[in-house]
Amino acid sequence: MSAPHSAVISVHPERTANPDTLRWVVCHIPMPFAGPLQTAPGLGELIGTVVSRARVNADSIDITLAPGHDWRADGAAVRHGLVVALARTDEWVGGADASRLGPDDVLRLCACELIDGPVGAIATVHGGSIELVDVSDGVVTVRMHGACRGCPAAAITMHQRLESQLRRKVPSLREVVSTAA
Amino acid sequence: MTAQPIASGSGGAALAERQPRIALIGSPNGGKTSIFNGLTGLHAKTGNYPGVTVSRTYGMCQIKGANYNIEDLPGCYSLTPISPDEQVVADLLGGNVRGIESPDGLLVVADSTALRRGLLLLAEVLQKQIPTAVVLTMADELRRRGGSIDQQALSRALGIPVVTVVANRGIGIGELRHLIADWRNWSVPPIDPPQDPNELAGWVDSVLDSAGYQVPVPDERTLRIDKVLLHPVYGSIIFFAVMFVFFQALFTWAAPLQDAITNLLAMLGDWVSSVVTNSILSGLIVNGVLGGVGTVLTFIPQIVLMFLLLALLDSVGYMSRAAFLMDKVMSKAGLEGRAFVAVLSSFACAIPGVMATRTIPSSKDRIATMLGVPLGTCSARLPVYLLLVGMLVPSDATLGPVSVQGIVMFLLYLLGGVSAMMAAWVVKKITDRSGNLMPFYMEMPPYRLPRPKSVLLAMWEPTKAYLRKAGTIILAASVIIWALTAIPGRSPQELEAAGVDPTDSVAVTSYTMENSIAGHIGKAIEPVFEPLGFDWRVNIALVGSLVAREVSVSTLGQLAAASDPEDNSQVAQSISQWTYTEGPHQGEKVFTAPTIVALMLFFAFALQCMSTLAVMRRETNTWKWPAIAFGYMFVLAWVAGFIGHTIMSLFS
Repeated sequence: MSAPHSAVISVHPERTANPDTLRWVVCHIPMPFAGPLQTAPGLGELIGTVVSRARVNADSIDITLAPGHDWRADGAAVRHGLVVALARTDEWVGGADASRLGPDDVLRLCACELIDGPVGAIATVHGGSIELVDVSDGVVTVRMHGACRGCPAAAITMHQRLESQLRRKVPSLREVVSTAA
Repeated sequence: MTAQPIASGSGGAALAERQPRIALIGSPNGGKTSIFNGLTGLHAKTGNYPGVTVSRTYGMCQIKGANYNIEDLPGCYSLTPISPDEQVVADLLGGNVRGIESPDGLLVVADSTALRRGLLLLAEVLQKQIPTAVVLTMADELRRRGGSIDQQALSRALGIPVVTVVANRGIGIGELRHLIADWRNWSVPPIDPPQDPNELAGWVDSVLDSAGYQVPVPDERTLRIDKVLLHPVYGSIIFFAVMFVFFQALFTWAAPLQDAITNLLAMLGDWVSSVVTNSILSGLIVNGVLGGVGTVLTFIPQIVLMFLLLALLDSVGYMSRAAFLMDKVMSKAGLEGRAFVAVLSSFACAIPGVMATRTIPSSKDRIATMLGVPLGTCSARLPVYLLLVGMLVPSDATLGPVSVQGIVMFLLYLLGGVSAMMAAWVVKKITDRSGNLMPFYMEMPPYRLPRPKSVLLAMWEPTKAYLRKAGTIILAASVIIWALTAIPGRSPQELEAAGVDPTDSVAVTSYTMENSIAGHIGKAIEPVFEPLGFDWRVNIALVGSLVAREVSVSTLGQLAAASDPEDNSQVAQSISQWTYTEGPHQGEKVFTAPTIVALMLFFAFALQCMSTLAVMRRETNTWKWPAIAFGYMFVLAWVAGFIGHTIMSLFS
């Protein structure tokens, strides 16, 4: 399937609350930094014209289209550019408040994403919430609030869900610990 | 082949138009049909897509008081067609099927044990801009084999709804029904999946990864069994052994039922004769319809048994392996995968076989394969073979523990397969250039216990088709042939002048028949078939078989019933008493072993099928190729029959 000279770049878009912004989830490629992306190979001509804002997360890039553009029409071009960029992450130029990412930083960002996103959403449905307490040396500590607390079933499933999803994104995760309130 | 426009047209169909149409699309064996049955109950309707013999299944599903038209699209791996089934699906989604609009919503049924392939199909489907949702099947199997998938994460990564259904246990059907009712609100992916193969592979990887997809470890048991069954030598031996037992069973198990049907029809005939006093009318019913269509119906037990065994072998997971194995053997001989698919299809019927050649890119290869395909032992040859084998070999003849009838049947099928492959291979050698073989892509499902419901359905569909054919084409042909043999009736004066006693009904019938239009036709072509031992009555059956091969059986049944109305035994016994009515062999028996063998070989090779010729004409857009196919197969059939007759004569 794949051309011999170029490795397959694993990336897919997911919707966000803002229809102009898509979260491009990246697998198996470490991000060089977190924060605004000023320019990158393949995306140079797009940023500032079609793309109004590109923000790097631990394992994804949020790309917001400039007014007058829409994903149906411009999505393919952004994807082409992104695939080129992801093959050369060392040439990316970050904005002023971009920060280098250590292993625990990646873990923290990914845990936040999950807690603010899909895993936290399930907790909310069950009348509770999850709080990220600490990330150090590959161990993520969380605290359960609300209806979740005291319900062993919810706690266990929530814990497992967070741990398994997090491990998928960050294989170096050692464990997720939930502390008592 | 008559096409039936189903969801279009006037009258009642207009009502169906207003109901949302939801189509199921997915790979064969992916659990699509179970989902369909789960949604519609067993009230499926079947038909054909206009102009093709790919069968169409659809049914009604009532959710919260509203009706939804659910269509079970033919199984496909991709929308880039490699088989006629895939062609139909691609055309349908593109709105390119006459009289059928593209569906309102699509449910992509994805086997979770082979999800990567399911997503590749989904990526193509999503380009069609039709509201789409995913139904994950085989989740129990995935779990059993140590795999996993996060349905919610998958839905988020795809941007469309995903439900998991384990249809045979009813799990998830309720959720699926809710989803269908909500089809207008299905989320649409923010952008279409990429079309560039490299980007597509990255998209699939990324989606699977985000959904925590873990590939099931290959089933240990399946692997071990496959090591033997897919082995080029042992596997081939087992394949032929399975087929051998298959044909043994066909004769041994079905015989008692066949006798019962014969007796039933005989009783019916007696009853009609006693009730209907008008001799022409009772002749039409007893000789024309019961003698003709009835004879074809006596083979129902074998037909049912054959499709039951096939359905069992298929649902256990054996048939795809048999096909894979045969392809491995054939590709060594240089026959390409797609040609193999065509030849394989022709064992059901040559028409899908001819249609399957559409997917072969080079027109030379296409025509080469098309010329070989009609040699495959199609199911229309089955009743003819059953009748002839029954006459050639006594049912109690055994070779050790095995029935000789079964052996002969096995050899006839083998002959069909080998000659179709050979013909395709020879023509391919003549026209060959690149030798670029297209691999044959077939899924190897894990071995499973067959599910009774799906086996019964798989058995019932072809049986129904056989019954329908008996009730339509064969019935019509029977009536016409009866008319041609029984009309005009002769006046007593004419009979006396010819030396026939008008009170002897048997003599009258045979005189009438011999001097009828059909009799004249049969006699006119007698010189052609005289070296093969066929008399004018066999020739009538041959002419009749041009409509459909089964008509030869019904015609022989009719002629037997007419010539000996007192005899209620099986047609085979009755016609084996026939003697030549004139010529050098007058008084000798017609159906000697050499004649029967000649007739079998003739049917094995001759293209006695108008529908196949018509489809060839449509596919090639000229009468040239059907004419060539008919011509070469006729010569082949005649020569094979003559050789068979000559060799058998030496022995007897």
